[in-house]
Amino acid sequence: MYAWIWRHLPGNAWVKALTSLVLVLGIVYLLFQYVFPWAEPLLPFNDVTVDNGMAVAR
Amino acid sequence: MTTEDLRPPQVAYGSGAFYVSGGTAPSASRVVAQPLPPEDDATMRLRRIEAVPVRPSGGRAERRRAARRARRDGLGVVLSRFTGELFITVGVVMLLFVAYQLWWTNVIAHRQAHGAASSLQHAWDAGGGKDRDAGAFSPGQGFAIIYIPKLDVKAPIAEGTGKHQVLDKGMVGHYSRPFKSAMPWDKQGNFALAGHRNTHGEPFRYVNRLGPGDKIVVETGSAFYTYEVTSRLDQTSPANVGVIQPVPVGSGFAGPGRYITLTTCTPEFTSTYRLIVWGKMVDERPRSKGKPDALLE
Repeated sequence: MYAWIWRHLPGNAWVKALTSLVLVLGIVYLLFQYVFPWAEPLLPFNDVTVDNGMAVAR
Repeated sequence: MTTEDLRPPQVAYGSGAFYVSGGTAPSASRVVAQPLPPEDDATMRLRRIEAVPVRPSGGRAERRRAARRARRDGLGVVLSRFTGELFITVGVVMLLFVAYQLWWTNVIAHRQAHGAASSLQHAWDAGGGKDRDAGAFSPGQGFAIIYIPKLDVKAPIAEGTGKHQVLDKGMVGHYSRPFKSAMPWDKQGNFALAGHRNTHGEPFRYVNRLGPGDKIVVETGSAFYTYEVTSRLDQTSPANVGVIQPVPVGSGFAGPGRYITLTTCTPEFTSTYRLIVWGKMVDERPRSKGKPDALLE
């Protein structure tokens, strides 16, 4: 998978390394900004109220 | 098969008459009749010239592609490599999620809570004004600031305990469900609050260290309300709504009064139980008279 991506990136090794870095940072940004906030309420980690999770639905 | 066929070749070679006149099995006889090469130690085998492999035409790129095709891995290798990389990726994403929970949510929530608190104070400094009814605040709207001097906590309080609207922004939530709890300026009732124990600013991280006599200050648009912690319930069921009733069940309070209740989750990093801290109001001080002693220590 990663070898395939590396082969298909354009340019020489330095350009490829730079492109990979940008790709990785972009994926981390997407995870932190969109995926994790979406996934968080689905996981039972952080209920703090005594109404038995009713507040979560809002 | 006749016996002539099995005879040694020398014999067949010698009897030429038989070959010419007989003619019974021409093909077999012809093979047998071939003269053997002379046995000579001086001869050596000629080197065979291998056929030159056909080189792909079309320049270097074409040749490179052909070479890659030649050393391509089998399906099993490709599949197991893919699976391994998938597992590694899943592990890295899980680690990233932990980093997000333990570090990034706090960064974001602290920023938001700080912004909310300072904008509240700006509004109060500009307007002053009287406190409003509990129903006057829309969900998610900040209306007060809670200080816990012992824990060095300062966090805005907003209406409602919705995660997305209030708690995940690093704010402390004022219960509006399952029933509307009282406001500090009400003549009597229980000012019930919920806050994150971990992540998202974690304002109530260390409320388990609060004991009888510790002060909690709530600042609103018109006054500072000082509460004193009276008791703590270290573990209770998430369904135990009685702990935030006007006269909290299990708190030791006998009759109606002006109380405060903090709820958060326990043990840390789980949502199995709830930790409850109760206090009662000991002081009400208009903003015009300055900060209460608890904030000046």
